[in-house]
Amino acid sequence: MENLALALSLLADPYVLGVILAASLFGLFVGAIPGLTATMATALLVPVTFFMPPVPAVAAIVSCTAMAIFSGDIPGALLRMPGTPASAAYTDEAYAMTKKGQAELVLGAGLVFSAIGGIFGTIVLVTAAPMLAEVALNFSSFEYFWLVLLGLTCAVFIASDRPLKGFVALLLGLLLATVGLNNPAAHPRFTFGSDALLGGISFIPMMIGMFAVSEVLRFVVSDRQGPLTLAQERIGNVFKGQWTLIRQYPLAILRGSGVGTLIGALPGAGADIAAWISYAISKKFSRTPEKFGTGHVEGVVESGAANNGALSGAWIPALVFGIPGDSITAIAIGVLYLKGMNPGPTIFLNHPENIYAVFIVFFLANVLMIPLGLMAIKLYKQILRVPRRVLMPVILSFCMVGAFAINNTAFDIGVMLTAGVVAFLMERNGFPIAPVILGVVLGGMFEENFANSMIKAEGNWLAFFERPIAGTLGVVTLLVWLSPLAVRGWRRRRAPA
Amino acid sequence: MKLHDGLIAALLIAFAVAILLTVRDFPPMPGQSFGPALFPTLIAVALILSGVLLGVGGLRSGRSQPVLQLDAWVRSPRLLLDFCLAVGAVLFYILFSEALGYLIAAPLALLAFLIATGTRAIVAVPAALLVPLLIHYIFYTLLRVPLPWGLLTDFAW
Repeated sequence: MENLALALSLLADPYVLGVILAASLFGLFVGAIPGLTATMATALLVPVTFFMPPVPAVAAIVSCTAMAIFSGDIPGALLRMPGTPASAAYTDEAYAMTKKGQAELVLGAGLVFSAIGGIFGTIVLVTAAPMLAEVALNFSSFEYFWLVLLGLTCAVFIASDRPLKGFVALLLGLLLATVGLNNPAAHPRFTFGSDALLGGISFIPMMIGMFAVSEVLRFVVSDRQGPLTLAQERIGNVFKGQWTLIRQYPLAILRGSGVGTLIGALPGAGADIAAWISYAISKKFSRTPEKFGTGHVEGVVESGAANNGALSGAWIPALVFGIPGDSITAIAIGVLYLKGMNPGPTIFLNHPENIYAVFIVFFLANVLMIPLGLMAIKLYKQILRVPRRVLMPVILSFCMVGAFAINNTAFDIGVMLTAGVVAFLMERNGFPIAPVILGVVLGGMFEENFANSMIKAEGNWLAFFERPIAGTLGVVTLLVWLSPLAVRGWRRRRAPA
Repeated sequence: MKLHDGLIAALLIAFAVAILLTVRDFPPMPGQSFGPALFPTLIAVALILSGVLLGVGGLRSGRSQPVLQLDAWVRSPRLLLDFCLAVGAVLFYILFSEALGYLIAAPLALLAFLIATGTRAIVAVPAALLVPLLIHYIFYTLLRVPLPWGLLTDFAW
């Protein structure tokens, strides 16, 4: 209780509230512009949060991303272009509704159910994280080894439609994590005599490259058609009819929020995948599946709640185990370490007031979303006036300074550029980026727990399965790895000879 | 620029072999059966295995696919030039920002970016002059990042 009071006093600071407001507006803007993603918004924020105390730094990321995932719905409904990948699942549906004259209803549904999904995810986060942390306090290197391996496995099998390419991306990430002195033997690996690489490849410049520079490059080589035209310019009252929707689809809202939170909590799979899965579930269980795709609000309600739920869910493993639930929390974990708020079960013991403050920010951001989101909808025509061909170069200039600012070295701008070009080429060839990030974030932890476990086990492999939780996690991990073989065998047997 | 899966597989395997050759020189950890070479070795072996799987899959399904499929932008001289201009301007900034100073190198780089996205000069030139000043104010004055002054050291504030 006293922690809660302390947390509230941390937030009552006008500076912190100002940061939350500014980050929210930034998130709404970035999300509303097609081609700029919520992850990119986070990567661009980090160089600035780098200079803030821990609570406002994390608050900025939380509020910015919550707003961006909502405002990605706006261009979906009005331009038929998802503002962020998380809205892609229902962009066609939303646009079809606008064409039927229901722009207000679909925009309002996006707003209201984003907030509901976000609040649901936050409640799960606030309840589940401390309970999990309690259990995790007893974890040894064996449990952590399997937990990390399970996380990496999820990233490969859930987050990519071609697991083999996802696996290669993961291996490249793990390899990047080995660069430098940071290994159990403190031997400089793959530094090629460069002092700049002794500390490893700087994480934040790499993120800026992969999520911001690659988008700018994609824009440069696109055909860059002229000004975008809105399907409907004047937007009326978006809250009309939302109450009816809540009463009409209570189960869908609950299911969307729940499934979204769960998918978000799985490492590597974030808001975009949550929305796709929830849209599919909604269609499957709908009483009127034939209406999907023709401008029917049901799927938008369910997956709109899911993507914001996923955003909160992703923080559960990130805070409790240091295992990111999506690419946004992967960046956030980097920020937590920089700020001395090291993720792990002890985060609830060392500075509980900071964590409670972050939890309150989650609620605050999802409530603030309603008035600010309404403003973004009303001002959308003006937001769209900002020409992307000027915006993208400005972002690139900002990226260069942001990458420099972390360690004050031009070498990191080189890291950023290389990461940007590599990510650009990888995406084009069907290799997902999220597993790379997960590999980089978890590589060190993976190797360390593997080494510690090996030392404890004295070469006895069975020791990895002897403790009950470690054994269960181990078996689950192995089953996931074996599942493609099982599926193939089953298909072969079913196939006519 | 889309490469044939078979070609990607060959590149991955070559890369993994290079890693295996590099880690041969890593010293073992005294008293332990594994050292700094173990983890990279495991990664390299996994890369070779996935390379083989990718290559077999690619050769089986993608026989008709060209080895190197050039995207529209690579074949369009203008877009290719734009791409090179954007990447080149970042490289220029990396190499010369220290010597020239932020307030000289950044406007030049931004101007190049703006040309690369096809912005008209009447917008591009003022933007290239004003935006770096704003970024400089945020990072140098407010956040105290030591952006280089270079040639302008005498005028530093």
